[in-house]
Amino acid sequence: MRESTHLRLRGALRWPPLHFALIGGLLFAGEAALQGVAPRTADERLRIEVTDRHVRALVAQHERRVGQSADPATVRALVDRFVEEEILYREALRFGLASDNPAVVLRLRQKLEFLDEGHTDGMGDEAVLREAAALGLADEDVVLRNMFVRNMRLLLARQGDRPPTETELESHLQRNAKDFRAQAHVSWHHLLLAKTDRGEPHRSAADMLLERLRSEGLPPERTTELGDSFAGGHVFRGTTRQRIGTRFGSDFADAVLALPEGRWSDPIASPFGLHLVWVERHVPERMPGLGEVRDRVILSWRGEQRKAHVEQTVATLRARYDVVVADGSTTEARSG
Amino acid sequence: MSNRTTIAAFAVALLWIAGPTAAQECPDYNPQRNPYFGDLHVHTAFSMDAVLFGVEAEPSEAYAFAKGAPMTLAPALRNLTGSATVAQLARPLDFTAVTDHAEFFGEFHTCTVPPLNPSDPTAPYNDAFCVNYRAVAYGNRSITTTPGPAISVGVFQAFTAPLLEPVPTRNSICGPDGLACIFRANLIWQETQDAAQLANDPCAFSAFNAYEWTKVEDDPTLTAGAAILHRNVIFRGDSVPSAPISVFEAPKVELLWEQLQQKCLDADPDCDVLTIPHSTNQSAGRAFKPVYSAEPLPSSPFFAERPLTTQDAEIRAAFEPVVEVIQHKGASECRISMLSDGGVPFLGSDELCDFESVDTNGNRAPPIPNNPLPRLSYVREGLKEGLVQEEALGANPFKLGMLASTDTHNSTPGQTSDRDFAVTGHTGINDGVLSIRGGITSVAKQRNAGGLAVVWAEENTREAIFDAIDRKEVYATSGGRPIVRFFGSWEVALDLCDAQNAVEIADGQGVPMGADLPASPGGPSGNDKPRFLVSSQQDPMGAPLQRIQIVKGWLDENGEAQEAVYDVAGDPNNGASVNVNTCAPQGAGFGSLCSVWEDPDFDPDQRAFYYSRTVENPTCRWNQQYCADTYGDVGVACAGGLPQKDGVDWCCDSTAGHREWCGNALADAAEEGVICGDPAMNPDLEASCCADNYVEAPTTVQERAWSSPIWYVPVPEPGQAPMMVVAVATLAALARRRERTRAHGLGMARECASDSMIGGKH
Repeated sequence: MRESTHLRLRGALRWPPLHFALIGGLLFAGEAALQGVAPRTADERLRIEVTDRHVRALVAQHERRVGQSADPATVRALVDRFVEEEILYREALRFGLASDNPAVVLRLRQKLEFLDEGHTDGMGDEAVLREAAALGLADEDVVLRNMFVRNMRLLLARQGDRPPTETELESHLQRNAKDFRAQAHVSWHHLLLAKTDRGEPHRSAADMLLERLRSEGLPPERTTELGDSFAGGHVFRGTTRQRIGTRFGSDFADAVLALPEGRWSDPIASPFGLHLVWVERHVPERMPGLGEVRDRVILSWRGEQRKAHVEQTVATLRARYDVVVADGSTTEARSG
Repeated sequence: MSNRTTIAAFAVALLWIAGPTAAQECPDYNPQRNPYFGDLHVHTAFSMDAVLFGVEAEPSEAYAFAKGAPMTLAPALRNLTGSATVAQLARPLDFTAVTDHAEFFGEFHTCTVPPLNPSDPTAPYNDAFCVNYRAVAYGNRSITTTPGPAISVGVFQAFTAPLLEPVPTRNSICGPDGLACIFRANLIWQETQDAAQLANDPCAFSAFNAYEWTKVEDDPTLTAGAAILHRNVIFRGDSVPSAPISVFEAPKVELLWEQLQQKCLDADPDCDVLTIPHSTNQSAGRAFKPVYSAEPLPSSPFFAERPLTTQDAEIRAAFEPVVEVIQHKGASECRISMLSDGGVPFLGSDELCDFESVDTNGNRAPPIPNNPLPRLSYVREGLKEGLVQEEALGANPFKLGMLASTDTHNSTPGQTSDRDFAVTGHTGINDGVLSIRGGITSVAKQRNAGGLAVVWAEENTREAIFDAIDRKEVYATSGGRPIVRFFGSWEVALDLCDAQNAVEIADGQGVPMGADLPASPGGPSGNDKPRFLVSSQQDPMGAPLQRIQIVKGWLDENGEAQEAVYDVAGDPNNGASVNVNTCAPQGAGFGSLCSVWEDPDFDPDQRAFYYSRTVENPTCRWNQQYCADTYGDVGVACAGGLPQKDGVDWCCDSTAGHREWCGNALADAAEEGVICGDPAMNPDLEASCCADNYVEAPTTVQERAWSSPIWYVPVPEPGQAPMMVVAVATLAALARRRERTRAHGLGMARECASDSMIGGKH
């Protein structure tokens, strides 16, 4: 039986990308240890027991995936997520996602075939289900489980869709101000004392130039003959911290943003040399009105609604379950 | 409240609701243009292959990442603390287009969103095709592990096989004429648009409506895999076709353009679109093959090929202004070991072409050392072929500017950091594990972290950026953020770099990258040889610059395309290097370079193009950087008998992984009685394993940036037929874009030259 499978796969094994994945598969072979949590009878439905064995398997799986050991907070998060998925899985079964589901039958048929090619030839669906149940295949199927979990999430997300009110949009905008805020920007000029292939410019040369600028009270428009030429430009308008940082480095950007308007700065270093900077104008960050960003606010609100709806529903569902985690404590149902 | 007050209040409220007027400029509006950095090639969980790689993040999350938000990558579980695979951009992007594979939007939706009655056995959702897809996608999150390799490979192939067919048909789950999937594709397309609309923030961040048209073709020169002919389709604004035009609707690129014309340009004056080819290095020479191929052959599923007409060339040039010159599947600028159009191997002389040069001919073909590959897979050869075609047709089909992107399948736009790439890769679970990335085949090690698109636009809006791409005022970087300017002119002074306002003068006296040189003014006011101002500033977070080069291509007196590379600034022998054991840089470089170069060999009768290449000092490549980060001094560690760490054995033995893979593959073959040298041996295995001649990954690299070219088009002599052919009148794209270009006041030099020629002035 193994031999025939082996031969059947032979052609596929020549395909290089397969090899990437086969190795990947070995890393996930331990996934099987997570099976067996799903209840085997209907009357156990409202109790979820996460035993030591489950916790160890979750942790081991996580560590294999991320290559780091799990701290206590991560372990709690892993267990929480596992419990949530378990609830969604069971609710999906109750919802009917699985009953008489040909996808389930097909999946189990495939599993039987994988174990023994030709085994299900001529077998009816019911026979397949019986056989799979006898072998415990249905209870130990991570594929079916993940599929149901995802589908439950998708169904729940769109269940609560409705149009927003003005108040909701206003309040969403306020709560998510950082996503909609117009950034601070600055308009500035600079003179450069360029680094040469012989090394850094002399700080004293920069100080001398600065002295002249300040003593003669020269504004930037009267300095076009001073300093070194710089093809990167001498005048920048409306530049945010990010844009200055991309061209001159983030330390330089921070320095420019901190300068007062209307006077020449002390020398500021960049990869290009020493700069004397004149800030013409700072414009602080600004919060746009709802009218300016309305469409984006609606989309953002809808995404948040869907996420919240899933969380709320899961919380409501969770209240119906007793969850027992390995250390023996029974967690209280939490509200969303 | 008086009536007047009420009216005034009402007017204010209206103004407030209407928001800023369209004419308002962004704070950083700059008539000399600003450089904006972006990624125009990004896959998310809306791409069927990304899903099979275990990627869960959708377009909205990709845009959030582009704006600087952290992302936990597959295969790590999300919403957990302590994960090792959280990625975040050190510097956010200015613009992004999410370009998911449009081919399977509908299939993906059909297979993953349960129908109202999930147990309906006739629902396509419950078809074996979908069941298998979900089994792989939501199973062990690897394309070949669950429930068994054969089924999983089958899933991948069931999806991709139609793309290879001359006339692809949708899977039976899509119902009659594929309508069910086309309908559902709209839903995914709508979500894609919603994400772009939510992310698009005029003046701060531009998000484009876009998708990838994913055509692959078989080619006689390929022994495995297929030729990549993919295009990213980028829309200018909110107006887009109701469904993306995929390979199923348009199996040839000529048909794609035809339908984009019908369903976008002709359907709505607000709709504008362009297409960007990529991975031409894996096109088996088809990317720049000068043929038209969209006419079905009678009683055959194949398409006939015929030489291009002038109109074909104009249409192509109008839809396709730029090409991706580097992305994670390698650089496409040029190659040393090539095949002529007649299949004869020859060597190029530009040694800097040995850069992120992938040795595979097509997608999923094995790398073979010094593999001579068809020349028409490379952009420089395409530009040269464009001159040949233009000589014959009066129109240049391959008039391509250059930009770059990542092609990440991790929903991580702009993730070009070498350190990130070594750990997370770009394709989910497939390379999220170091032993896989470094070890298995040389394919993985030949990949790189991809590049960025840099656009010179007046401000950061969709319109300004799209128009800059359209006029090719763009350049490509191999992932960093150096600044590159490039102007062509007859007038600029040779010492222009000494002027404080050099860019302003060059912009006034010449044309920027992507444009045509105007006709030489002649006489005392102008020079008889073109001059080029080129300047670069280093990325403050990158290596210093080594030099700037100008690459020239031209048609000689025999009508044959030639090329030459000139060092025009900096110093190729500046002595800078990198210690490969520690990755510490050694020696100095340049922060900023500027030069005006005059073409010493210019011949006014010969059509030509010029582009600049800015080259940084050497640094460690991602694979070596990882080794140095992991082991400190790699030389010391390897001399001391390095224990394997995380399965990373390539640090001391760069071909170990490949050798192991070959060993297993050859053992399998031997079990079937096939050995090396046997004609029955798979030709890929023969080439990549039997010779015991493995591709080694370079340990150092010189990161770089490529400007878009500037073209020179000779003015025909009096009495000769004008070479400038009237634009195809029906092509709305050309007409509309030229109007915008004219309004922009740039790049119209060639038309002016043509007009004055018709006036008999020369």
